Amino acid sequence: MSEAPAASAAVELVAVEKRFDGVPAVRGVTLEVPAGAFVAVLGPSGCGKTTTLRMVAGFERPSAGEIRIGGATVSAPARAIFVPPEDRRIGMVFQSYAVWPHMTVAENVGYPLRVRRVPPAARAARVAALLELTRLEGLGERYPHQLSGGQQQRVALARALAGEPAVLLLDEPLSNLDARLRQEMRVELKAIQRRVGATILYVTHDQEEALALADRVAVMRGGILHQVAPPDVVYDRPADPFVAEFLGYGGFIPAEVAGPAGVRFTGLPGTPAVACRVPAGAAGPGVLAFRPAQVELGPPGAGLPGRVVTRVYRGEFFEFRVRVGPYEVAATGLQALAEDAPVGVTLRNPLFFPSSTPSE
Amino acid sequence: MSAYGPPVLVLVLCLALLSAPLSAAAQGAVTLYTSESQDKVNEMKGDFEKRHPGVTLNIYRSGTQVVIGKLQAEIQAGAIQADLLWMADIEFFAQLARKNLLQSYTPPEAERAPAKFRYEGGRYHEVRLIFNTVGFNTLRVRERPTSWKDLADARHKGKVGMASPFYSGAAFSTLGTLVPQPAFGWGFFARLKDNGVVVEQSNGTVAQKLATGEFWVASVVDFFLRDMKAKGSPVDHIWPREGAVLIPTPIGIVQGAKHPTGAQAFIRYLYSPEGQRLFVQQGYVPVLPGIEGPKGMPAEKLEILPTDEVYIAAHREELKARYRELFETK
Amino acid sequence: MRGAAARTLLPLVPVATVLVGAVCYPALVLAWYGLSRDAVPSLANLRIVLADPETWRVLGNTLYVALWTTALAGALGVTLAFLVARTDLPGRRVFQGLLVLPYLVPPFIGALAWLYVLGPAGFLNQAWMALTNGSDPLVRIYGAGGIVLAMTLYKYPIAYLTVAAGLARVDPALEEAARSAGASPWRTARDVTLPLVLPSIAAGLTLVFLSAMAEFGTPAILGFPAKYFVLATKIYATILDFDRPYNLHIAAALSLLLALVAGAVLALQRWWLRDRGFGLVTGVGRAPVLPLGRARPWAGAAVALFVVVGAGLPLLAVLLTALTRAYGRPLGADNLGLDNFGVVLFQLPAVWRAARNSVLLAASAATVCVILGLALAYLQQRARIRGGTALETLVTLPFAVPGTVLALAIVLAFLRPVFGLWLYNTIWIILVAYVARFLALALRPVAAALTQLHPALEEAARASGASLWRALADVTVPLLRSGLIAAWVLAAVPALTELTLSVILWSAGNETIGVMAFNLHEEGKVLLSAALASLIVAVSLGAHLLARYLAGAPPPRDV
Repeated sequence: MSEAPAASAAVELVAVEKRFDGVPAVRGVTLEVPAGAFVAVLGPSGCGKTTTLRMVAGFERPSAGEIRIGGATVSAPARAIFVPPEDRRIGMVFQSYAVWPHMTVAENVGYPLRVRRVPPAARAARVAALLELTRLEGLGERYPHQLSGGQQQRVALARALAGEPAVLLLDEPLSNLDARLRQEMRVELKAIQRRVGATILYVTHDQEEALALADRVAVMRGGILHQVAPPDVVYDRPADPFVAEFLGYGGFIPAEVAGPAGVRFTGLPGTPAVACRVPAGAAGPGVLAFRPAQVELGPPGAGLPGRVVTRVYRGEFFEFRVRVGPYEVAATGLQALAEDAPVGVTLRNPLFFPSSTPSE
Repeated sequence: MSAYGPPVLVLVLCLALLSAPLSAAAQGAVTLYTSESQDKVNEMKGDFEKRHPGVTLNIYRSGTQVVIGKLQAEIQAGAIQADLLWMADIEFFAQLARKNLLQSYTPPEAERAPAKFRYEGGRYHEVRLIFNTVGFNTLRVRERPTSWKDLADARHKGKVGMASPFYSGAAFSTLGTLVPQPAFGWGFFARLKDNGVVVEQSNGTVAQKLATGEFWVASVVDFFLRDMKAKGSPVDHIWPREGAVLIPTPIGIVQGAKHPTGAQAFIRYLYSPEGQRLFVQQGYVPVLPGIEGPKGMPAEKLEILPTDEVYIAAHREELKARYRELFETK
Repeated sequence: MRGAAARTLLPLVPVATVLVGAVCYPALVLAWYGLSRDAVPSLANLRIVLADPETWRVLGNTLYVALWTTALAGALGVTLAFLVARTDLPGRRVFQGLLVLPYLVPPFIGALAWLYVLGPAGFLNQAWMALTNGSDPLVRIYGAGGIVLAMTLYKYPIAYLTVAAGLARVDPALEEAARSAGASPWRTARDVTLPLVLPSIAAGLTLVFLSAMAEFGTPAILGFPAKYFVLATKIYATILDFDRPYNLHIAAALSLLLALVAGAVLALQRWWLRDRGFGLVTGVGRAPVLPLGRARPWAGAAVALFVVVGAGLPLLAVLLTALTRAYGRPLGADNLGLDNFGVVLFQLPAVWRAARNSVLLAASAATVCVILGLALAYLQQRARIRGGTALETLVTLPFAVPGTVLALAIVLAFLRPVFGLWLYNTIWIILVAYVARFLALALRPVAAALTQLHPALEEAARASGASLWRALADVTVPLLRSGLIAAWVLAAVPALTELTLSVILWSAGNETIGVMAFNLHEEGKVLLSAALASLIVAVSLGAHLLARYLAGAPPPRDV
């Protein structure tokens, strides 16, 4: 089905702030969502990502800053501008789906059209098309309580798409589904987005999900955006230790700059420098971060001396915890190393974050 | 288990306290069933208990018919709770006397009162006199009424009140006294109905409405009006020239009463000069000679219409039925 | 294992005893009285009742009054609930507390209050008569109109609270979804909120209807003087009409009729609500607010006026009447004083006795109800005995059935001693009636609290070696504390000022405070009755505030 993308619309947040009773929940958020893009806001619970989404939707009023949808300003407290949710061209999918129990699937999906006074015939046609798009054909006359969780999810999605919104807002829509369904829905969601050309702002705490779905990931904590970048950049080059940790990095072993291409462990005097990317002009102490897959375990002597502490069988590989001096690091490998076995530990391309990196 | 302490304690305490009346009753509380005014009879109880320490009076008070009904239920069940009965229904007392349910008792003080107030050999007594008479609102009615017929006066149409014979013994006595009188009969009541008479439940309500002016004239019990007049309400009453209707309000002791001594003490008290003076203070006419009458008695001579108890006894059901027919069917 | 199973069912014994003794047995006796004469089955009573045109007129009156009250109270309740819970009505937090005030006033006192305002000797008519120098009252409150007015103004909180609770349960996301789909706030209210809250509205209307049908106090005070009877007052009059042959049997037959109508309505409601299983719970987050715009100050003024006139005015009238010295004299400083209070408090020892009786009865009944309620809830939820719905019906029956009917059934059941127990004419018969009546009220909060308590908590205690009773005592009951307190309060407060049951069951020395006030009024001692009524209202309000403090939140009302 071909759908004209909803104009060359974008969502812009400019220095948006939100305070609840004086306590800041969102601070100085500036973000741009290009038309047709899939932007994920990723962060732990309580970081302000849902609040940000609700400000774009119009269910919360920002304390400061501006929000524009499709080029038009919808929220600007400094200029006393506030457009209510029903007048913004948005579609929203809630975490609980919020599918109306007293209406059929068709009535749910067709509601945005009914509100916009689309004549019944056109409405029915569009509803049919949306049901087909979300693989709900034939279920139009059913009631939500007769559908599974996944189906209700898709009803919510179809309904959000019905009004041809400038932006689709999704608030952790998949967190109530089981693992396998979640995988399926991810694929479907991406497919639908590409077909329809919708602009999506997606809030989640699941980094795997964000990486899989988004064109751009905005990592948020404590109401502040730490990094906005495409998934691979966020994954390979997290901007600071918080983002790194959120993306699965471990270690965080104290080290200090030894030269333009390496650092030395602070707690392991006498060990050779470790090769890693050192940010230009960095000097002094910092932390070393790396993913378990970046930790190579070889025979003793090949690298830093270490000892295997625990080993967990994960089917395709083993998960180890290895003691290196005063530190314990997580590592993965294919070899069935015995617990308590001595190993040589090498770090491949770890990341170094100087202490001056503003993040903590 | 300490969380249970307080609630269980509360429950036990409550249940214990609830049982207390039972023990009190076992120790000589005389039970009186009456249709007397709650506050007046409580005053008597207070005065009586002060003069007779050691005797307590338990009072069950409701409208005459209600009290009679309750008593009849108890008679049926064979378990009469009352020691003393005091109500405005002499015919009922006659019935009880016939069934031997009343004790004869004439205290020495009673000998000084007129003999006609000691009924059936002292089985029941009139200890003070109440009359049903004609009352009026002094602001609305300029000419002082003189007769029962003034109630049917067209000038007062829709502004006439009376109490219900089904609730008030006084009203029933009035009905039963006026109907057999040739000068009145059912015709009188039919004329009252034509004059728009409003029937209230109790004499108290009639008196109240007389005071506010909703009624201009009414057939009502005398002492209510004397009470209100004393407090400043614009009401007054007359002794009709045909005669006022004596409302017998006998008191008697139940045969087989559980507390005969206490019951007798109460009757003695009521006949005593102290008791009689309390009656006068409350606005009633005393039975003992030599005691001054209450404040606010009308200036006219008090004539008393004779009440035919035999007639009332024989025609009780018919009186009720015809009254219902006349006043309750629309 | 049999011993353990038997011990689990041990709570069944006291529960069954009470339910059988206070509910089943009286119900059967009532039915027997209605359907027999002289200990022989007979349809004569039913025939008399059904053939009497008076019966049908009274039934008509009952339905007329109940339907009008339901319509008006329902409209008021729904409107106010929406205004307070879903709009930006000014002062809505204050209104939340004030709007339930009428509910705290015992119904018959509510009727008295309106009598003092609009009655023949009431302030309005007095003012009118003084103004026009006439003696015709402007308003006649006795009769159907007055009854509907008084009942509406005192029962709308039932609808209001039910709908407000329903609104609170609507998931705000459902309303936000509509807003995000382009619906304005009012459109959202119409398309989404209203349909979702419809079951609560239906429940509220049913509760009001049943309450209006069962009411005794208001029709007694405002109906008797105009010879306007409803079923409850007709039954009362029949019980007291000892001159009528077989009066108790006829009263029983009338009661069966009343119970039938009430039962039909209740069944209808249960059936209708069963199909509407909208999963509404889990509403988290703030409810959306509908702006009233230009109408805002008007709405605020209207609600304020309603509160002042509907709730404040009658209470003021009670106080003023209580302070009046003599009738017929113009209202002025010289006609006001504390005389009536003096008489009531210091010259009528019966008042103190009645107050003592009421307090003890209320406290005992509430305690018994909570204990039984706990046993019942436990049996229903943990022991999972069969016949749970039968138990539920037995518990709800004495609450749903009009009070007059319950009182009659209990009188008839205990007229003669049962198992050597002499209950009639004692205070204990009132206690039995109160327990039967208020058990349903106490059960609800206890059952609700128990559902929220995971069985795993008790099971952990059992796994640690505690016996069943020990586990209950150490784990379950302490955790249920606030639910138990709420239940206690819910049962005790109405029991304190109750009239309908005690007016039939009282005997010498065993008056309740409600009976005391009622009798004083019936005697015509209006001023004294007003003084006592003022005190009762003050106590009721005080008890309610104390209860809120103890329990932490206003208890929900629902059958």
